[in-house]
Amino acid sequence: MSEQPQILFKYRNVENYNNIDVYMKHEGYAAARKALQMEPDAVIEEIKASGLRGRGGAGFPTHIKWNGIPKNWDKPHYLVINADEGEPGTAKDRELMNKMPHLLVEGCIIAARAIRSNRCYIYIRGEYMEPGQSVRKAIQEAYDKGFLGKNIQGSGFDLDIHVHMGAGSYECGEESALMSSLMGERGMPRHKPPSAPLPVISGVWDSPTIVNNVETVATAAPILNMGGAAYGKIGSGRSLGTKLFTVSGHVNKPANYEFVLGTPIREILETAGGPLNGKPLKFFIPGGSSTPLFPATDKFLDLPLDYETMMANGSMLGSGGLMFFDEGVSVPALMTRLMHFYAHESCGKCTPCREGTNWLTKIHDRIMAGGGRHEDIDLLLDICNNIGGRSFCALGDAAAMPIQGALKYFRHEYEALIPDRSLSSRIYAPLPVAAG
Amino acid sequence: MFTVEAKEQLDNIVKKYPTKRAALLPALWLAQEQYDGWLPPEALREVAGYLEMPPAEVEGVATFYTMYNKEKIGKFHIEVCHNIACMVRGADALIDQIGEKLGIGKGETTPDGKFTLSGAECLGACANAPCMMIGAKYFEDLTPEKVDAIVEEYKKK
Amino acid sequence: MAETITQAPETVNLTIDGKKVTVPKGTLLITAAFQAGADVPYFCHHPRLKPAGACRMCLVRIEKMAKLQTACTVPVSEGMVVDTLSPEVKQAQQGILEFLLINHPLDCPICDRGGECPLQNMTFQYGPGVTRFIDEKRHFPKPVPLNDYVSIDRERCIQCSRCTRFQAEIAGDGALAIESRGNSAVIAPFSLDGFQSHFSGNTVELCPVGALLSRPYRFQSRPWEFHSTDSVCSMCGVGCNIAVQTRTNQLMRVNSRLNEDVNEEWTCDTGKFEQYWVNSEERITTPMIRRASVLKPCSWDEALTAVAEAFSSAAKSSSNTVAGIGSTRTSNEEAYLFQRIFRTALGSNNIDHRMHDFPIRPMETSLAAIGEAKAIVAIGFDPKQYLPVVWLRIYKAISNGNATYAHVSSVDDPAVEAALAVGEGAILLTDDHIASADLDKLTKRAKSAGAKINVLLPDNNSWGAILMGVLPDRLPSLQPVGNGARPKFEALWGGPVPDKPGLATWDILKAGAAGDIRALYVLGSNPVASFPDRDLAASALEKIPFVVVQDLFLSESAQYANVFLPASSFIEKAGTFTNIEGRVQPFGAAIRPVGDSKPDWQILSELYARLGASAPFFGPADIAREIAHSADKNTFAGDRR
Repeated sequence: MSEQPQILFKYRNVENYNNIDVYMKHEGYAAARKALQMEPDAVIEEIKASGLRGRGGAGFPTHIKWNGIPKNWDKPHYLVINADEGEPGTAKDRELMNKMPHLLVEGCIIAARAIRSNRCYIYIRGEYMEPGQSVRKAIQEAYDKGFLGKNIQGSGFDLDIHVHMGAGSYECGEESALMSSLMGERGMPRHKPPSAPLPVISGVWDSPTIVNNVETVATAAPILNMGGAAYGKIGSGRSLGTKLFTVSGHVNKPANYEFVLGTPIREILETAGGPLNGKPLKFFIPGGSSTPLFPATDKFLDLPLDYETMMANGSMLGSGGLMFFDEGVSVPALMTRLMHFYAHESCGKCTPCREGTNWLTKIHDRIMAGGGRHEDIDLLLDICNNIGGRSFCALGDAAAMPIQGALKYFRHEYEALIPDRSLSSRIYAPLPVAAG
Repeated sequence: MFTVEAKEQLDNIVKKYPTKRAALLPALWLAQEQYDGWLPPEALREVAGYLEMPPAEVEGVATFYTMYNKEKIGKFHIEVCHNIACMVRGADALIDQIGEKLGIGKGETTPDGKFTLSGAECLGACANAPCMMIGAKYFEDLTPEKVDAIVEEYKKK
Repeated sequence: MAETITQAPETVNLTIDGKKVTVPKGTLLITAAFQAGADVPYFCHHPRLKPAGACRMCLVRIEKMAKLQTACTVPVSEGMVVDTLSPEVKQAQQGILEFLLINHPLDCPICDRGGECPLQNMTFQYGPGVTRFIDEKRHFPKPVPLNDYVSIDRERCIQCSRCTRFQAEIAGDGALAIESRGNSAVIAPFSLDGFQSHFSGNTVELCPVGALLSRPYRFQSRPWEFHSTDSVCSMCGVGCNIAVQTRTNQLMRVNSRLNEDVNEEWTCDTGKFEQYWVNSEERITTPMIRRASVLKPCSWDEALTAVAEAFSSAAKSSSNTVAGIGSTRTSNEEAYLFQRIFRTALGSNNIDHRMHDFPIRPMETSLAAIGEAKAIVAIGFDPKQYLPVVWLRIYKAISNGNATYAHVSSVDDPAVEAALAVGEGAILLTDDHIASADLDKLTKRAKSAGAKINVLLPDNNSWGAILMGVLPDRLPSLQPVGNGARPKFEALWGGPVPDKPGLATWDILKAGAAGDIRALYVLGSNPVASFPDRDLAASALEKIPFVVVQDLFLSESAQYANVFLPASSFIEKAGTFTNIEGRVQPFGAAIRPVGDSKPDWQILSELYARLGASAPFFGPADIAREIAHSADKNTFAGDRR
């Protein structure tokens, strides 16, 4: 077992850590004080040295995002926290907000300082009413202690934080849809480059905006406390620092864990108590339901869990939702459930996602009901190809990728569900390509 | 109709945002409280009037989000996560169990208007699957026994 | 004074399918592609709506970009290299079409959109030849009426959001929204209200499938069966350019026609849906003459002879005993001929068309300029209600330029002062009910502020009636009857024209009630219903020994007629109308006159011959030629035809 420095979870077991007094006894708000005395760009430099990348799924370097905010601008800058944790398999932000909300509030102060923002919205998914209350309480405590409001700690810096509750939509976890939702619209995605400027130029209310995941921002405080360079020494390559992983499914000790990026998956599995009741595992999903699965073979269990390795092997680190499944789980059945989820959550704005998720669902339902045809399997793949890269936002891809992963490794499970008598009952040909 | 206090609350919510429209989601939450746990069209019209928005657009937003109820639902809304992490830890059986106990199916409300039972998409408690929520409260690491006890407890409420 | 510097717009050079094009900066790629001759398919794109990128049909390859991009959302950039033809692009477009078709019912044979349907056309051009979808399609109740005019077939909807964007961005009422989400998403108005908009019909034309349907047109015709005639709307003074679409000598549908200066490409619901009266069974299509106190059908010869005799004998006794009340709805040619007959053949200036006195004042800006205003106040009337397409210009100013807008009842409203404070760029709108004193007051204030005033007249040819001289004291082009212009007309018309102003409508009616009028010609108007003092109008018509009413319907005034002359509607004749701006716009004959009805100009021309005129007119163009010859250029620009 490798050494696993606990950075976000350092004081996880401290009683009443969600109380500001307790929090302050454990390095709390020291980083915020530090940031308030630093020039904004110096804060960004510190984050740059840490190599911190977005923990929400995309893994974009945080300092580049923060640096994108115009330094001199006559419009207000907005810091928006994406606490719309909805990716199946991911439950880390909920624990952060329930048990250590001040890490988030302090992180917001640091991030706001860095991007010269005086107003922050924490967008919390509607179901998270308890985390919402927890964060609200922490914000109030921070106001009471003078860490929020006007002229924070005599620094001349002002910051207000508001909690904005969602109301039930997975799509709102997508950065631009979240911005729509924050502005009182349907949770539909907005134009992105090359069709529109980045949010750092024109985000909410046409103003420079940073949208960061809860975990990303919460990491800012420990980074400032320990120094960016020290944080950057943890991990390797471009996957630096630690990350929270939600380990779920068929393991003996499902929980949120903090691991150094690049920790072998097998080690994480073992830390989580190994396969549930010792029953052999069939496959696992490395980064939340949208990331393609891997068979639970030595080859894949030995992979280091980091951004690059997952990408190189055809999946993604995603939001850190590591899900293990034992032999008893039917891959097509699991995918059927997932397709219902994506079809339910598709916002309906664009054709490929709206129609594609619906079609994938219908074919899965039919296969599961014994009405599958042999050509349906290639049809599923073709539908995925017609969604992939063509939908308005990543939700379409998120629905297509798991199927592509499932069929790559478990096509035989689909084939086994198709009755022998099934022959092509309809004219079917691969989509022809028009000449010229 | 919004009470005077609710209107004051709404005034304060609006102040948190640069535009009136941005207050729509919180305003709908408030309206749902005011209108007995759901959003009849009259509530949408009231919100639209307050935020100076076309009512059709308010309805468009209200119907986008699953937590705004477009129909009257039970006093206690039991939402059992049926997404994959909970599914493989027995969520479907729990839904059946609760349904049998209450005599209703998924998406139905008991005749006395006390319980509505729904399947829910990932509630973000995957490490403590299976899970469910009743109102704002989460129940995790569920077992058939735990679920029985919880439902019994709510029956008494 | 600040000088306006006109700069050449910044341009961008790019290559599309190997062809180099230069377009203004900010142009959307799809527009540039069309300019380069590329045929990029699309559904949700519309040049007047904000980019949606929803249908994904216009995916193209832009070099150096990881994914295919929607051409309808990407602004061009310098050096961009774009491919719209590669197999990759074609395959993507086919894939999108396949998605759109899986839930779209294949009911083209009974769909009103069939034959003029973008989805049908795109499928023909880009679509897959076979379906791979064998599961059940999406079902919704259908069709669902949304208001009196529009219904929706939700199974056909492809969620392009053109309709919702139109209502939000152009009509400004947000009356339609997308409800629910994903595969269950539907287009819907607010559930308690229905589709409350003055502009709902535009969504029928915008819909790229047959989802939004015209209720009056439903199942009435196939688009390839009807004949489409360029026309001008008859319902208000804006003069929206329309296509009158007819089949079996009946009006099937009114669609909009493009005119950037007038209606762009929109119509209001009144224009699109409220002109079916031309098909009405109630129309009188045979001349009638009163016998034993009952109107009985008769021949045209009988009717016209009776009219000619009654008017010439009255005029012979005294030209003061004949009078004519014209209309704001007949064409310029007809209005002109009407006054010419009265002034020459009957020697009377007793002609008018006004139902009340109002200030005659041309608009100080164009219609289009309203869309550029910085502050707008409508005084005494609601444009959305009475001149709906003017509202679209107002909303354009509100939404594009952040103009302020108020609609107030009095010239003394503080909003008027606030708009005047804006100075140049402020436009005050009022209608023909404004008191002269108020208008004078307003004019002084506006002049010193640099603001403009537009007095908007209500009917489709209000200005035509004025400019053609259907006024007791004015010849065509507003020339006073007493001044030096008269000889010119006398020469043109070949006879003397009385030089004293005649009686205005109210004086005609008073004189009629007093027994001083012997013959009254009511052309296309209905004083008994429209004159403010209805009792006076009724007692006048009762008292006047000979009343001829020329109209489409047996109006209230026609109850008093000795002779009824059945006129044809505007779709049965050609001519010109002059809109609120003074813009002369031609319209064509779409169908033959219904029954034995005749166009007003023809009735007047035949009557003129019976009154002894030597040069009858054989068609509206003959009259137009004379108008163009006699009128000043501002009144009747011949080049508009």
